[in-house]
Amino acid sequence: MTNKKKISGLNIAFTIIIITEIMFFAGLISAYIIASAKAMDWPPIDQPRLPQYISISNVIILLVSSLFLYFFIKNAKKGIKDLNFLLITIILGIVFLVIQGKEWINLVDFGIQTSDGLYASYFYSIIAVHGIHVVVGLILIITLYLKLKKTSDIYTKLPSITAFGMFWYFVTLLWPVLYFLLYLY
Amino acid sequence: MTEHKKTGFLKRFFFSLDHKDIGFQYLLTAMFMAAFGGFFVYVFRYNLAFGPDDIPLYGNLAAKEYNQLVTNHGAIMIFWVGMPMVLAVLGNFLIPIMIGTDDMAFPLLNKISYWTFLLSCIVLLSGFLMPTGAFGGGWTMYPPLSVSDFGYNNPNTTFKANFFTGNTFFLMAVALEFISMLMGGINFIVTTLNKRAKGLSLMKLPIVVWMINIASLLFMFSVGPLIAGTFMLLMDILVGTGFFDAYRGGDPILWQHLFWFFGHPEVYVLLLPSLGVVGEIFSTFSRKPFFGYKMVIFLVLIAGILSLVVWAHHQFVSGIDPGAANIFSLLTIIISIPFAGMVLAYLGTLWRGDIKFTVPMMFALGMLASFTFFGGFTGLHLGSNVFDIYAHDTYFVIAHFHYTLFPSVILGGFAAIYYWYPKFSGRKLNKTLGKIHFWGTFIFFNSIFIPLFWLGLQGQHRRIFDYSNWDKLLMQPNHIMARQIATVSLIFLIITQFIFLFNFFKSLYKGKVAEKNPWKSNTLEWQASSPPGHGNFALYPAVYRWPYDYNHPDRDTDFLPQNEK
Ligand code: HEM
Ligand SMILES: [Cu+2]
Repeated sequence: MTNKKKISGLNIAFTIIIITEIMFFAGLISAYIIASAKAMDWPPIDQPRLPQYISISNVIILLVSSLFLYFFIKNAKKGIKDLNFLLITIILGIVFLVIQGKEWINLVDFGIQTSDGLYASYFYSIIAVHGIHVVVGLILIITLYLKLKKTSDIYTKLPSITAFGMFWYFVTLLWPVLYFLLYLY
Repeated sequence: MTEHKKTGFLKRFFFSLDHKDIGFQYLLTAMFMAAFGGFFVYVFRYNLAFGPDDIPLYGNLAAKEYNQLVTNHGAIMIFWVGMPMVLAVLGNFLIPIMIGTDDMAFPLLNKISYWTFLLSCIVLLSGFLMPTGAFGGGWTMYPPLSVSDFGYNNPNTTFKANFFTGNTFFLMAVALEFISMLMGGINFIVTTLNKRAKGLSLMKLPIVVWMINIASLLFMFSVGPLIAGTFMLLMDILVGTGFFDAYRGGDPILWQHLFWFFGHPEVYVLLLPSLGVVGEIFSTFSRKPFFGYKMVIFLVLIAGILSLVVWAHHQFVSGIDPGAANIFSLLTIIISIPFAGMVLAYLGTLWRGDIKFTVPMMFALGMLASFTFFGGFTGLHLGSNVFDIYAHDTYFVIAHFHYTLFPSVILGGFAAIYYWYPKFSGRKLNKTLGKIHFWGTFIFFNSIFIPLFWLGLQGQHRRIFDYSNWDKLLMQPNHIMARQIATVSLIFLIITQFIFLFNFFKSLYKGKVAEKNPWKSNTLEWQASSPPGHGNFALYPAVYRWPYDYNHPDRDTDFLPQNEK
């Protein structure tokens, strides 16, 4: 092809990955919605309440991390390398994982177990799967950070910046949806 | 571009990143897995015809082993023979060279994809070594069969005991295979979008490249929910969640939805690349332009989209809502319209062509004929819930899907091998052996499955070890004879394949040397040397026309390659 404005291969690849991911979560979420619609009481009556208020702070943390990533990418496209923005994204991502991990331990202490029944099965599985995605996203962004530290030419790294960024946006924007379904619904 | 370097076989096998080498690795691995799948089917078919005792090359067969063999036969043939053959082998061999470039967009990812695939084969086969034996709950993995004895059903087992079971290994193998095919598919699409030769617009791509890409897209779009389901099923087995446990409010039918949402598109994933191969071959050996190129692409896209909304036709007797069943019936029947249009276009290519009955052409004609007359046609019947309530889970369904999958994977696969062999080995296969191979394969394939249609209509259910409990219904002399005809044909079918293996491996070293363009075809791969060196082309080709200018009015020769002005 002669076209000059080719979309980078990495971006196409990540678009495809994200479409597959969306379908993956769509499968999980629709299973969850149907299960909850069929159940008599949802959440089950004897289940301890989930910590809705601490968790909403987590929603905000992830969204803010994405916002900083957005600033970073916007600058990068102009050729400005402002790694502090990226650093904030990473730190917020780690904070999210820590809070979420603590909450898990609390819930296990409360005595919610995966084998308790459907509600706990879904809750733990969906949170765990999302957690894995956050970890993967963080690994991508941290490698990006380390690589950018070494180069001065940010343009050559633009494809990986936008592709990895896309993945992080996906992971963070997914969380409010999951929060709504698991904690409030 | 670099010259073709001679490297040792092992080094090349393990470390080469060249797309042709990786394609060849996939081909050998798929053939290796096909040997397992073929041996399994021989053993359990022998049992159905002549009883379980003293099976030659096997010994006595127990009912549990029968189930394990049936399950693994199905899974191997679909995931470890079909998928690699039509997607990985064809995609790797054909896409870079047909679009006039040197390699895939991500060669390393390509290699990782192969390694993951190989790992998945090993994981699957090691299921047979587990203390519980291999998984035997059917290739569709329906719960509760796929979780019984484990997880919630048996509170006394430990995580470790649940892990080292055929069930867990089967599911992990399937998941790994999906990941491998995802990596491959991403490579195909990115390569096709970004690395085409100068002048090669999308609407000038060979039809087989289109088909492989659409199939990859379809796979990636539909596999997500099944990965979710596989994850949930693994959790049920390993940590005792209750997603599919009706006793605790879970829903076994949910698995069927997640499975078939993927499962139906998956059968098109296996079909489309093979239709692409047939399209190339028809045009070349009819010496005529491909008829209705744009229409075929358009119809495939429609069929692809429709295939995402027909899945519940596999569940008409699972207790789904009858109103919904009617809608799924209707959608299923509608999907035959685009396929009928495609078959019509293919016949249009053949119409009044100067047909050359070469071996690839014979396989291609055999593929389209058996797929259309028996596969698609009986699918139409099964799609109607009124009929399917009686036919579901009988040998009628078995015959239906073998008439779709065998043509797609095996006949289409052979067509592709015979057609492109001269290009990728630099040598020619023996024609006479090829023709014997074709007729043997085609005749025995039909004489296996036609009796099975009849047995299915007689009420013979699938996945049953021993029919002697139904002696009035299924043990009449003609029933026994029908089963024996099928089994004997199968044995002949397998023997016929040795002719192919002999021809394939002998010609690699001793075959007649092939010229650059032995079939006088137009697509770009025939402009590279045979076999193409590392990097494929000495000079990147530029493209001036679509691939099907046969018998062009301005030319004396009856073909006009894509890279000629
Ligand atoms: C005209 C298009 C087709 C229609 C209308 C159709 C319809 C159906 C229906 C309704 C069933 C379910 C039967 C039952 O379980 O009771 C079925 C089963 C099946 N079909 Fe098709 N089909 C079509 C094409 C294909 C193609 C192209 C393939 C593969 C290349 C395929 C592979 C299968 C398989 C593997 C099964 C059985 C799966 C199992 O239960 O183990 N079909 N088909
Ligand atoms: Cu189907």
